[in-house]
Amino acid sequence: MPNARRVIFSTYVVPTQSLEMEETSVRQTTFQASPNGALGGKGIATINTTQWGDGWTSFAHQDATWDDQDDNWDLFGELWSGFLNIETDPIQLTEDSSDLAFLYIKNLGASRVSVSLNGTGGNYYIVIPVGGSVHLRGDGTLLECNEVFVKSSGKATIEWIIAKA
Amino acid sequence: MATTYKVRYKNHCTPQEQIASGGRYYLDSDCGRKLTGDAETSATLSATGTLATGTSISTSATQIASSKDFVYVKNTGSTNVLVTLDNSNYLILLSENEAFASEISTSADVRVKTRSGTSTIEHFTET
Repeated sequence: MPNARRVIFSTYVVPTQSLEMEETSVRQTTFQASPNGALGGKGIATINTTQWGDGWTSFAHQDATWDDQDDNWDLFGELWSGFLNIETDPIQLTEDSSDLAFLYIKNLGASRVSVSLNGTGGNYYIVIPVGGSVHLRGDGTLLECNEVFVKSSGKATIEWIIAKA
Repeated sequence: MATTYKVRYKNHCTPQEQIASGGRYYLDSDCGRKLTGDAETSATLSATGTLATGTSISTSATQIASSKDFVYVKNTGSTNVLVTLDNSNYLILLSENEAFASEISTSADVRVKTRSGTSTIEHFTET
């Protein structure tokens, strides 16, 4: 058991515009006039030393346990990849009802991923494009770990951190 | 000569654990590496975005995005700022210098406020 845990996080945003040249295969990409550069921020989220379970990072998901896997581990040698496959049906990342301290989700698949912060029937307002990621700190009282649901417009794969306060 | 508009954005994080009180932090062994995503907005953006800086925030809600495809908001003040994506549940916290950036559904109604006191933000949105 560690003495403490934290997550250092940062955000980097570059708005661009791309002009098609005479030869249409060639494009000239520049900063948008405003902000004419990059935007960003950074911070540190202190999270609970004792997390709600091994599944707080996708790298040690509860399905990594051999008896929870779909196939016989001794026949297929199946190992947990650290990634979760998702499709159009919403998936809850955890049933733990602790206050959420920090959330990170990356889309490793080929379809857009949507995230709800208020339950399976909630508003899937956060969109993660292919290769993209999102992170946020919970407000400390209202947002709970079990209210995070993800779904995809097709087949996708995600990695995540969902840490309690 | 068509011009296209995109926002390239990255969200990084590094989980860390401290073994002994007062000691240094190491990469968290439950994760084992730094995490990052790097993508352009998937939505087709029709024009340049709008950047606003020095926007004063109080305990009253301030709308920063409606019918937008992308939102970035940074707390440039010293008081914590709360963010809602649905004009109701303020679920996201931003402390000083922290930012939230994401492609969003055009149905989102993004507003910010403080629990108490005042702060300032910069925000960028694009459709």
